[in-house]
Amino acid sequence: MKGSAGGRWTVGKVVQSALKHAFLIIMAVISIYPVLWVVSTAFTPGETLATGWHFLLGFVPIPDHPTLDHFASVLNLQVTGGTFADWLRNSLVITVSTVLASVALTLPAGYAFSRRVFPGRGALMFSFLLPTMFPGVVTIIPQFLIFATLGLVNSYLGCIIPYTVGSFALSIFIMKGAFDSVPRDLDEAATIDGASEFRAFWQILIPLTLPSIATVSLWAFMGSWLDFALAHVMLQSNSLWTLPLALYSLITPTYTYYGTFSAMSLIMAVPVFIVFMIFQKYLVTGLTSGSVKG
Amino acid sequence: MARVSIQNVTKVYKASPAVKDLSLDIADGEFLVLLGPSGCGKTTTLRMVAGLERPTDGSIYIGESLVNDVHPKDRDIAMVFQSYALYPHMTVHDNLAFPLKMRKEPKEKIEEKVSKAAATLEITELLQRRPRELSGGQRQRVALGRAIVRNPKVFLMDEPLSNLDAKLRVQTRVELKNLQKRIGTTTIYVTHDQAEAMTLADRVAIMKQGVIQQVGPPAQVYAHPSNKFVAGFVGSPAMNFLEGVITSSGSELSLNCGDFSFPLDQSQSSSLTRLLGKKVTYGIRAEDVSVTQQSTENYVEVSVFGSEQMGSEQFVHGKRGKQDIVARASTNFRADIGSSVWMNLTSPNGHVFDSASEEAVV
Repeated sequence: MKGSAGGRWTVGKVVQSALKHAFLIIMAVISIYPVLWVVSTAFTPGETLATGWHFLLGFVPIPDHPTLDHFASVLNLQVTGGTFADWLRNSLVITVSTVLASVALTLPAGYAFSRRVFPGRGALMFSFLLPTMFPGVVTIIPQFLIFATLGLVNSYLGCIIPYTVGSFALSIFIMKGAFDSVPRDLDEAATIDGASEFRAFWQILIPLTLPSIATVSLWAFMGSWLDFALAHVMLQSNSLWTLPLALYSLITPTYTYYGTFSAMSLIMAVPVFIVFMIFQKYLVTGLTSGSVKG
Repeated sequence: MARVSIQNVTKVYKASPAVKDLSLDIADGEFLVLLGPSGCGKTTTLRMVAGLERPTDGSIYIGESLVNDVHPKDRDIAMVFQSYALYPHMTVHDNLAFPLKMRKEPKEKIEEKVSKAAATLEITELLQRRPRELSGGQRQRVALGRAIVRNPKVFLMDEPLSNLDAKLRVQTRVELKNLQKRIGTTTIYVTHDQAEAMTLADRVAIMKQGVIQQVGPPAQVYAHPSNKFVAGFVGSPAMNFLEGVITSSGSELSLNCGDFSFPLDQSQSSSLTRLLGKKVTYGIRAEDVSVTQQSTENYVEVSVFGSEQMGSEQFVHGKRGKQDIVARASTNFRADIGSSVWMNLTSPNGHVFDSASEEAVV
């Protein structure tokens, strides 16, 4: 007998609860199953998909003789003119630049949309959202043509600029919402206390919107670190490849290096995991409580 | 410290004026309260003095300088917001130190001034806390502390007590008044609470629809309202208003309110004779209306429809036709609902307003 607000368990409630949980478990399994398979394959000797007789939860194979060989081959990987170190560096440079550029541009933009009244504000806001209504691939060819004209194909900027711009729509929206949620009294109090508009922005608004800034950074990070399609078009020289392109090179018309492929996938997931861990507290904490009202 | 002079200031938002041709001089060290209902333009006026809004027209002086084009940070003012506007990510200490840091004061000076302000407001033990860890009253003190810490020329206060509970509000009101007298800083204080205005102000300016209706010391505004709006807004309970026509029988003037009439006080006769036969509004405060349980000559019979026991007094609400009249009575006065009582509306403290212009005649 559960003494919850809902009162007694009835047959209907039990069935309802069971169905709810069954649905959630199925969804969780569907999303985690491929990941488990990749982990298993990364530690399985040979370049085949993981197989074996011991199955975790009945359907994920556990390697009989786990090995770290695939991780070693990832680190030693070379494709004419490019090494793993090159690709890692490329990915880091492009991703870090994208995150910095995205944050540096969306904060002032979000601030302007939140705090300033100017003609065409609504239309401008809409124009940032417009491109998100089309599938991303639609813009790749025109972008390639523009960047080819500008001579930016096969350069870091050829990726950094589109990634940054691509993050704008959502990021500006998030930042505008974040600044809207900070009472205007706070900027005004800072102004009267002697702060310039920039000081008030920097010392009052930014610290109060860190959770949203974390979200915006994460969005820009994911968009560039994991992107394949745009990088595939823009970065043609092997030495300029990012990690997803190198990963793709392991699938050849004649052979697929499943073990190395899986190990590299896991290596690529490590920074994502770390970034999530770092930002987690910001993603869940709201800082503005207690600022106003008695 | 400085005087503040507002000269012919108008503020228009999207073609609708919030403040109309407002002029007001606030003396050095004065505590001036802007009082009025919401939307009357009092906060807009305060924000224009702060520099948070630009006047559409007119001039604002702080001290001898014209500040129309001066940034808020350079006006040497401090403001206390209704919401307190404490910086939530900073400790109380850092909140108090912020205005000093912005003015690049040396570190030792900042510490000294913060300690002094904290001691003045008795918040020293709260210095390491953050705003969310404080009660409403404590936050209010920190907001005041942030205002006094840098000794500005002018304090601007926008309903700073309205988020406090009733008891704390009364207590803080007294403290605030004492603090201002001690520091002597010119203060402009905005409120819609007439009791707050009456207790705090050296002078009170009553506003309606962007226009100042009357400026004067609280007692003067209370005793001699310049028009019906001021008379009705200041004082609690609100003044009784009766519409009627002035008539005469011999040398005595009366107010004929249709189904009843009562004599007007002799002392007012000379100024009212010229209004004979005219429609006027008669105003009288509850404390000037006496009430008895016996039928008395020249008293108006009313039917009791409610009474409010205040502890030390009671307010008897009577009705005559469509007219409501409130009278103050002692607590032991028997006011049974539905019973008849007699009210004396004749008083030297009665006010007569022109029905059309609503301006005070007497």
